[in-house]
Amino acid sequence: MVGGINGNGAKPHITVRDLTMAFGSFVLMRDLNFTVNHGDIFIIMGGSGSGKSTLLRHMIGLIEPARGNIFFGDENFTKAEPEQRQELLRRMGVLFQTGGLWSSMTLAENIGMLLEEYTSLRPSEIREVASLKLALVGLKGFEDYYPSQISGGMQKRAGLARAMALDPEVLFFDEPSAGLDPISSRLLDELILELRDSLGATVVVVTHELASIFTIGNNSVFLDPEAKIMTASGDPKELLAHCPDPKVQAFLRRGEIRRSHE
Amino acid sequence: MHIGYARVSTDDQQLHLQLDALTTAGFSPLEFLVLPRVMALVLMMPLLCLYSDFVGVIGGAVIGVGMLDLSWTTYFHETANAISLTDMFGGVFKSSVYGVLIALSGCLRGLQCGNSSSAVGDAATSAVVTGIVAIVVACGIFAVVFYILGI
Repeated sequence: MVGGINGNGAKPHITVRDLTMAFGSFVLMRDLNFTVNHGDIFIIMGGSGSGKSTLLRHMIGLIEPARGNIFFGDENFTKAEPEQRQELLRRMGVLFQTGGLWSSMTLAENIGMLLEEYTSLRPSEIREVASLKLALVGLKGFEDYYPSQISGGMQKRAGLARAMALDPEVLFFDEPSAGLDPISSRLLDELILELRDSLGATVVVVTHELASIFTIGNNSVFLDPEAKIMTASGDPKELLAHCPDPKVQAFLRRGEIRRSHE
Repeated sequence: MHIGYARVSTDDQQLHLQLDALTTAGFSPLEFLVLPRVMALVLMMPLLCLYSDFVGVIGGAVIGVGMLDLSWTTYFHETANAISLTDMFGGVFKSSVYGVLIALSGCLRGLQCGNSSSAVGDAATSAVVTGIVAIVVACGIFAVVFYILGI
């Protein structure tokens, strides 16, 4: 059943049931089954082209599943009526790969547009909240900059500020460390942990950065593009120690052969 | 209603992500991007049409008076006799329909645009071609309809 309590007492937040992802007759992944619990930092792992980002796009409703359902709490997100789906989407925040900021608007306007649409705040308050969110990601004073005027890393952080505009319960990150230098990428990891702890949000991250995976992840799923199924799930650190699947081991060890069995 | 635009100005500002971001934020790209353009062209094309009408009449006058020895009064008298308000309103009406077609062709090709810098150029070319074809077809339909209505 969906929405119950797991064995370890964790409460399911997002449940993916029998999900098959396909483009026309080309099946990308079949029979995905996993649960993201409240407060998890859930990593979607897999090599390039394994459908990690596609899975994330399914979870935020940009692509319809070929088969299967995605539950958000107790509610069926896949089968939801448009209005109910909008309502669920409002409780999610998404950081797209390169930020996905609307280039015709300043950073404050990017964030403000959501507040204007979905809250009853006055314009001066909207401006204030936008500044606050930008300060949270270290972009204080950049309210009136356009996305094209700031660096890629800053765009990504601004994208994060926008994703947090409506205080979402779930934050989705698509390749947060792509295009960032190791230090910025590390800082972003720390920011993600901080957000989880301070906002109590559930976080879903698509990444293949091993450093990030082990630093922030406490739950994960591994997609195998050849078998077209998920071959492992659970805490990445435990997968590294116990997972018997050679592909998962190779991935988590950067292709180095496991020596403990030799 | 919100009015805005998404554009690709550098390599790392991807149109697709901006559209995805709109959709997940609950804004319909149709309402946000297409509607304002359609409205703008519906309003502006008739003005452009009136402007062209005006310049056309003035141009005729310059040639008529300068090269064909007509007087200003004769030219404007004969012109006023030859064209009616119906002609003018027909043109203005057609032009706003063409405005819709141009806006829709542009938005259609723009939204279909791929994810590379050459794709932007291709989309622009293809938008122009689509727009011209749509106008030619619409013009043919107008000719038939106006003929039947006796305008």
